Amino acid sequence: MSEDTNLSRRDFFKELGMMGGGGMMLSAFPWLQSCSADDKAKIVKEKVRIGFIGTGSRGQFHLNNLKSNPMADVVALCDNYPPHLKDASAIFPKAKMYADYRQLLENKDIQAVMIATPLNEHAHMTIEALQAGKHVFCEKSMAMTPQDCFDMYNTFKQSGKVLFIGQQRLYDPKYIRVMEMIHSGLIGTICGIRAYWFRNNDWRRPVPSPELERKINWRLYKATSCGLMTELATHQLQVGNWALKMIPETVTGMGDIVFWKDGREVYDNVSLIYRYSNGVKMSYESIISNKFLGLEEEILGNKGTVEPEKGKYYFEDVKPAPGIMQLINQIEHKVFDNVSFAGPSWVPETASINKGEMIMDHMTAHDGASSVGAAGDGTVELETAFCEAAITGKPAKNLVEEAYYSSVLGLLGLQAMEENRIITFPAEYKIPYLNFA
Amino acid sequence: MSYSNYYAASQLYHGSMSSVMGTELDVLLIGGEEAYLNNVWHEIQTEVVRLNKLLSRFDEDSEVSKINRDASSYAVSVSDELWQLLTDCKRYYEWTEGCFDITANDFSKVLLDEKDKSIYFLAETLKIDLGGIGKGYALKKIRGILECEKVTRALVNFGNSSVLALGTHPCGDYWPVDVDNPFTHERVDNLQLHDNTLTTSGNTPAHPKHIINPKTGMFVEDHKMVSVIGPDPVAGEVLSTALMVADEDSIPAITKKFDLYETHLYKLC
Repeated sequence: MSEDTNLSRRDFFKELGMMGGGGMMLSAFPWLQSCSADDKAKIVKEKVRIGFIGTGSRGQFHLNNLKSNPMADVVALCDNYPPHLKDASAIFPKAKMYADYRQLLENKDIQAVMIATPLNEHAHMTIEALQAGKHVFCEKSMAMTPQDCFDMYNTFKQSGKVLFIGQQRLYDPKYIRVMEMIHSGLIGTICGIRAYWFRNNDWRRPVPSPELERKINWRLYKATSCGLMTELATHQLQVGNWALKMIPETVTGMGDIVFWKDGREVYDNVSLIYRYSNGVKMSYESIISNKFLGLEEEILGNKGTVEPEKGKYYFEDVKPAPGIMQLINQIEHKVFDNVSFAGPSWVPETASINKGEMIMDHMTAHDGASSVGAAGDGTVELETAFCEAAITGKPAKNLVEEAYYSSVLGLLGLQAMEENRIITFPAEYKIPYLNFA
Repeated sequence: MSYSNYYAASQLYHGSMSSVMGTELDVLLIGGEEAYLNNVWHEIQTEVVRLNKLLSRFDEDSEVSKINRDASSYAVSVSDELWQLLTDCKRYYEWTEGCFDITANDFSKVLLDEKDKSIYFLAETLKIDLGGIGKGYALKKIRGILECEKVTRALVNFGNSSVLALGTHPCGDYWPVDVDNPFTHERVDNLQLHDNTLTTSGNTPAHPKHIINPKTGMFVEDHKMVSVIGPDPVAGEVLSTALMVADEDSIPAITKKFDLYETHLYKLC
C-alpha cells in the first residue's frame, strides 16, 4: 500500500479537521472521543498485553496490523486448528500458543483478548472473557441469536470492561466525513437507502481433507453461521442507522440458494426491506454470483445522494463549485486555509450524466471482493482505538450499541426470510439507544 | 434551479444557483439565523434572475435585444438602470483605449444621447453585449442587498471569474483564495480578499477562444490570465478583460486610470 492510498492515523484526524480544533465531531461521533488528548499523551508509551483467539484469515489480517501497532503487545495466540495457529506464530513468534481459549483466559498476564473465530463462538467467548476480567474485541457480527447479542451487551455493561465489536466503518474516515455531511443537511432529508453487496465467488476456502469441510467453511453452514446477513449485511445496516440516527422497526424479505447449490445451507441470494418509523425504507440485497454492482449504501436525500463506499456525493440539480464545498468544509471545522476556485469564467458541464464529487482527498475505496479485509477501511483505526481503550479502561461510547443493533437487525432479517413474514423489532431486545431509548 | 443548505454549527448559509448568466452562482452568508439568511438568499436569487433577463442578448424580450434589433433604425430610449450601465461602458471604452468594447467592434459608432437617454447605432451591423460585465454588475447589486440586510461576512462566487468578499473568513483576517492555472491546475497565486472583489479573465482548455480583440476582430489566444482586485466588480471585469487584449505598451496607461485596482498578469504555460 502506498502513501497515497493509505491514510495514516494522523492524516485521518487531519482530514477530518480535528487538528484545526473543529467542534462538530465531539457530539456526533462519541466513540472517537473516548480517549481524550490528555489520555493519549499519558499512554503514549504504554502497551496492552493481548491474547488473540481465532487465527484464521481475518485473525491474521488483524495480527499483521498489530505487528506495527506500538500499543499492541500480542503475548498469546489461540486456535483449535493447528495450521492457522502455526501461521499466526510466524507473525508473533514469541507469543504463547494455546489450543483451548479457556486456558488463555486463565492467563492473568493477559489484559485484553481479541476474538476472530466463527460466529457461533462469539457470544460465549466474549462473555467468558469479560467475566474473566479481560477487555474484549470481538469481530462482527456479534452472535447467532438476538438473545446471545443481548447477553453479550448486558455482560459488557455489568463488567465495567471495554468491549469493541469489529464494525470498522465507525472508524473509516470517509464514512465519518459522509455522516458529517449528511447530518449537516447537505443532501436534505433522507428519503430512502439502498444497500447492497454483490460478489461473484463461492465463498469457499480450500479444504485439506473432507472431514474439515464444516470447520474450514463454517460460513456456509447454519450451525456456525447466519450467512450473508451476519457476514456482510451487518456492516451496511449499521450505516443506514448511522445516517438516519434511528433503528428500523420492521423487516421483511426473501432469501434463497439460487446459484451455489453445492451443499451449503445458508442463502446465496437475499433481498430485504427494513422500515423505519418515519416511513423511510432501507432495502438490502446481496447476491454472490454476480459482482457487477459491487457494494454500496446509496443514501438518498431530497437534495442529493451519497455513495460512501465509492466516496462520492451528488447534488440533485445544481452543482456548486467544488472549491466552495471545500471552503464550507473548512469553515465547518474552523480551518483557515487557501481554497482554489478563482479563475477564468467557468462554464459548468451540461452532460446529462451526474458524475458527482469526491467526499475527500486521499481516499481509499475497495471493491468488496475480499472476505478478509481491505487497506484503509478503518480496521487499523479501530484496532488502535481498542488498544487505547484497553489501556485507559474507558469504553468507546455508543460503539457496542451501534454494533448491537446492526447485529440484531441482521438476525431479524434472517428470521423474516426463514419464516416468510414481517418481523417487528421485539420489545425485549431493545436497549436504551436512539429511538428505542 | 437552486440549492441551499444551512450549517447551523457555524451559522453558515450556502445558496447555489445554476444556469444563470451562462454559469453558476455560489453564495456563502455567515452569521445569523437560518430564516433570516434564507430570506437574504431569496432576495439575491430574485435580483440575479431579473438581471439575467435585463442584460441577456439571447432573451428576445430583454431591453438589450430591443436595442440590438432597433437601434440602427432609430434612437431607442432605455431605462435609467441600463442608461447608467451604457454610460459607464462608454467611459470604460475610453479609459481602456478601446480594449474594452461592448460592441466587440467599434463603440465609437454608438451614439448615447444624454437628453432623452437613448442609444443609436451609426452602423447597421452593430450589436451590444453586456455579458462581459454582467457578473460584475450582479455582484455589485448583491453587495447592495447584503449591506442593506446587514450581512457582514459573505463570499460570493459567480462562475469563478467574479468573486465578492465581504468581511473576512470566520477564522482569519481575510478570505484566502487561490488562483489556479486552468491548463495545468497548478496554483499560480494566493490572494487575500477583504471587502473587495476579485475578477479573473483568461482562456481555458475548454474555452480557448472567447475573448475578442475589438481592434483586430481576432480572438485572444495567448495562454495568459489576468486577475484584478479592487472595490468595484464592474470596473474589475472591464480591467481584467482589457488587460487580456491590450498590447504591453498600452498597459501602464490603462492601469493608471484604475488606480484603486491591484492587477496580476500571469503568463501561463
